[in-house]
Amino acid sequence: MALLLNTHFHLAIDSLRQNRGRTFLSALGIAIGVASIVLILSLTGGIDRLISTNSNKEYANLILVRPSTTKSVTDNIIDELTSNNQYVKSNLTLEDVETISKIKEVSAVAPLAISNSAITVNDRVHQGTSIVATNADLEKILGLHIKNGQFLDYSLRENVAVIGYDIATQMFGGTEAITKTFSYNGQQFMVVGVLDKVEDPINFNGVDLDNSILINIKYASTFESSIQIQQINVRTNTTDDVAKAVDSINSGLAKAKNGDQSFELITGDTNLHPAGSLLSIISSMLTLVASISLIVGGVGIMNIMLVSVSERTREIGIRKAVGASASNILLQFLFESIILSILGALMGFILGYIFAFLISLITPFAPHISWEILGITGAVSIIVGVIFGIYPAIKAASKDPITSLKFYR
Amino acid sequence: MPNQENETIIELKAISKRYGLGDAESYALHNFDLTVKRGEFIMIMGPSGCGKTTLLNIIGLLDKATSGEYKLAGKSVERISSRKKAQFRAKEIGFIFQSFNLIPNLSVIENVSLPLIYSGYRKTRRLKMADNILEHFHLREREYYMPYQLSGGQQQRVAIARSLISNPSIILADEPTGNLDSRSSHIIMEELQEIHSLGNTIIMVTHNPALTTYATRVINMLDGEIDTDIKTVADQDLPKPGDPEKISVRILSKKRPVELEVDSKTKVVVTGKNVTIEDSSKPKANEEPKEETDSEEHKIEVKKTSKKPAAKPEKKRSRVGKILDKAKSKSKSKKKEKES
Repeated sequence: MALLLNTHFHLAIDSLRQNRGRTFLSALGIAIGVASIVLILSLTGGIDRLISTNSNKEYANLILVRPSTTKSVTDNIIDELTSNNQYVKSNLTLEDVETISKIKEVSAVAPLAISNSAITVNDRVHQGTSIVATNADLEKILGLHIKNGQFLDYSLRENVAVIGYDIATQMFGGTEAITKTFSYNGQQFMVVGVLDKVEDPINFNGVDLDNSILINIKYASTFESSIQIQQINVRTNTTDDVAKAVDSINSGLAKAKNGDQSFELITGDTNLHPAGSLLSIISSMLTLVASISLIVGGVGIMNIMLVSVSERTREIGIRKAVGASASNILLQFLFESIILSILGALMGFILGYIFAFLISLITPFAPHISWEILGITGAVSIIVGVIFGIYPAIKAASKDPITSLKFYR
Repeated sequence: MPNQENETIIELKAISKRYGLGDAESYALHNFDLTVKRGEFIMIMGPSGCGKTTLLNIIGLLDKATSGEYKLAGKSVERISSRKKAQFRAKEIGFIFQSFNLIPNLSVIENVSLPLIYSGYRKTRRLKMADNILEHFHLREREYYMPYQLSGGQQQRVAIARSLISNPSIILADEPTGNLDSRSSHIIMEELQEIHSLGNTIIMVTHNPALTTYATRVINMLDGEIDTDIKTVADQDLPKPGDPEKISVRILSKKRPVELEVDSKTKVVVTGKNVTIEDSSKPKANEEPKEETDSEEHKIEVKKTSKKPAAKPEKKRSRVGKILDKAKSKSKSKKKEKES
């Protein structure tokens, strides 16, 4: 049996070789389908990886406290994804931060109050700069690296700021910005530190730290009447403490707010939930569309195989006359279509990777092709080869040898 | 010489093949009976549409009779599955067609080795066997030619090589010389006769009455039935695979006496019919040889056959050589005529 399969494999290769141009073109149909699937999956895989690089390790013992909104009640993920957390009216307060910091499983608490405002540097106004009011714990929680100077510190005077890597270049023409000043909301701030470039510009904080100015939230609350805390980042001592801490925070906050449950806690994997879900929805939609092209490629293979069967009617007759059984003929033609689709899949992998690479040149992330993607697309294209090759093969196998031998092209 | 009768290899009883139904009903074969013994060389003749090819297709298991019983090597084919039939075709039946039916995009050697694919030989073994048989047919140097690069006669020899490669017991030839000129036809018939002398059973359909001289049995068909059935060789004299080596001579010119030079001492002159003689040391009365020992001028090539022809170095004498010899003998006889 193995010998027979091997023989059929070689027969199929030989006959495909005799029609190189046709083989190439019919494999190209499958190749384009596979390439587009590989491209989509590798790009979404790349984005996904970019987001989740550190989340599973460093952020495992992280709890996010956010003001709850009606959208999470509906459980409609699209709603949840498309609405913007930042502009929800928050009822989280600095007292809540204080409450949380008193829980014993908690090692660090950092509130985030994000706003976009104008700042003035040397009489030049920079509109829409993102100002993050937070505290010194943020450095510990996010594992931030300092390029120059230092992070916010309780021991320092209050009107200092730490600025992101990109904004330092923008505002002060470089990362050597220590002791430089800017004004925001009528207050003068001095730069004490410049952050190193962060690895994950898209993250659960909803802010790009490279383009942000970090100021002391206690100081900010003195000149801003109603400061909006969008999120409180909480880090526990160990990963095992997370569950306990969640309970304590829940009960502590509820107590402090007199039973007001208008907040929600997000832990571990759910940190990435919004981005991950959006990606998976988009990528599955796109993959679905791309698989249509795979089906079109399959139809192309079927078409070519049907032409080939009718062209080779006489050959089929000869083969049957010299001893080929119907199953021999069936296998020969089925192998041809399977080989065509495998060939297409290989071409598709290469094409897809090239496209993904080209696209990655203009995007901030590298495409990620996993073995799963290759395995699944490979398997799917073989299935396509079988599905679309079986009909022509059956047609070939069922040809009557006598009429086939009389067939003239 | 062993005298027991050869076994029956094909037995057809009341075979009918009907086409169409009702008003359109017609019979290609009607209650056809035929018994073929191993080693027979049967020529089937008859007008077009008398059912010759249908008969061949049924014998070759390509077609199925509407009614009647067909026993192949003692087994009824009615009960054989189509897969078994295919295997039987691969191993026991060799087909030769009028239009050669070589696969155009396979080389000569691949075409010849085609039946071996389906009897489960590995590629190297297939090619080796094909190489051996092509050597016998003097086509070794054309092994990797494509069929379109060969002449009709060469293509038909390739087809014959293909039909013989799995050493089948029956060879079915459907007008193998129909597309060939007379010289190529002659070569093909020589090949077939040689194959036959090795004990193979050949059933051949032809329109050419001149070829019937090669046969041991001539069947004339008319409207799906046997019209005449003439055996020219008794059953016990049919060649068997184990026959001792013998020399057979065929003379094309039948009008005037032809002299055969067997060796330096023995010469034979033949007038009229074909002659088969044995080596002078062991005379054999296969057909009536008329021996004379006069002239030395007519030389006709003498052909030796044995069980394994490919192994005999003297078999390497090319067919072209034979033709040249014959042409020479003709021209010499013409010269002689002029002189006289």
